[in-house]
Amino acid sequence: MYECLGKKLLPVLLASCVLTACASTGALISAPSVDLTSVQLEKMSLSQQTFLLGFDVDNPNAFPLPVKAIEYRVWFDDEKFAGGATEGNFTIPERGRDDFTISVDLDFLSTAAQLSSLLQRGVPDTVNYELEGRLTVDIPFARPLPFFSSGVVDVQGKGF
Amino acid sequence: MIVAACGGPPGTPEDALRTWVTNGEVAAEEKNRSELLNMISENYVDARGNDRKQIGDLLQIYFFRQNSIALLTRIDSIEVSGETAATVTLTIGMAGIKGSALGINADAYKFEFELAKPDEDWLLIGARWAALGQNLR
Repeated sequence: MYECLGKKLLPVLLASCVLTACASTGALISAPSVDLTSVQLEKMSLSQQTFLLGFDVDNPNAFPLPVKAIEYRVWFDDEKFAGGATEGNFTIPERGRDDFTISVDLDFLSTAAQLSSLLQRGVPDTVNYELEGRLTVDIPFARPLPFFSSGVVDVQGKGF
Repeated sequence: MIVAACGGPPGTPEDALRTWVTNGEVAAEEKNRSELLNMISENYVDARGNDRKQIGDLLQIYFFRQNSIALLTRIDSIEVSGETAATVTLTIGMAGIKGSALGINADAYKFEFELAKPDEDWLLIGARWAALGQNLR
């Protein structure tokens, strides 16, 4: 009886294993890692400040990632600093790295809090950051790829 | 009679192009990359700067993982000019096992295929595509 049951169950078990194997494979595209590598105060006036944020992006996939758009939000020392979306027009090589820079214009009046946290004692050498966002890739049917990172980043003030 | 019905040569260019689309859909679902590449001209080029090899690389993305892929394909239009050139517009949706876990966007895409028939077979020589509602590029 057990032998008979075993024969009946075997195909079911095999099918289950196959289905499990199918379901347990990962996403179509692995999310890249994105790090904030530099913060540069490019221009500063009473009314407006321009920062350049430098990013490194690492593609873990075995194929290139053509980046179409970037959404990001950056916090410095737990204070929201900047966020937005920008078009991207670059391709991260397969299993490789690339970098990009985003220019952030801040209006002093509306962002005094953010700036005061960063520039309280002049331009600091480093600052703690948190970064999150999404990369939209120009690959049909691919969803935007989320990223998140945190750490310490150098701040360059160009003598301000 | 059955052989003639199933295996006979397609009649009009439109028939042949519909067969071309069906063959492509089957090859994609079977992850038969070489069959798909055979449907693409050596001279393929598109506005994104892709050539035949790069399209092959793009196809590879969908085939890297072991997950099943099911395509929902609708032919929107077929325009034939001179019996050796054609434009086929398709709406394609992709469904997979646990699509969200795969990172697959459930939205359909519009594809516009430019085809040429240098010899007996239709070959893809260019393509534009975009998510529905966006401009083809």
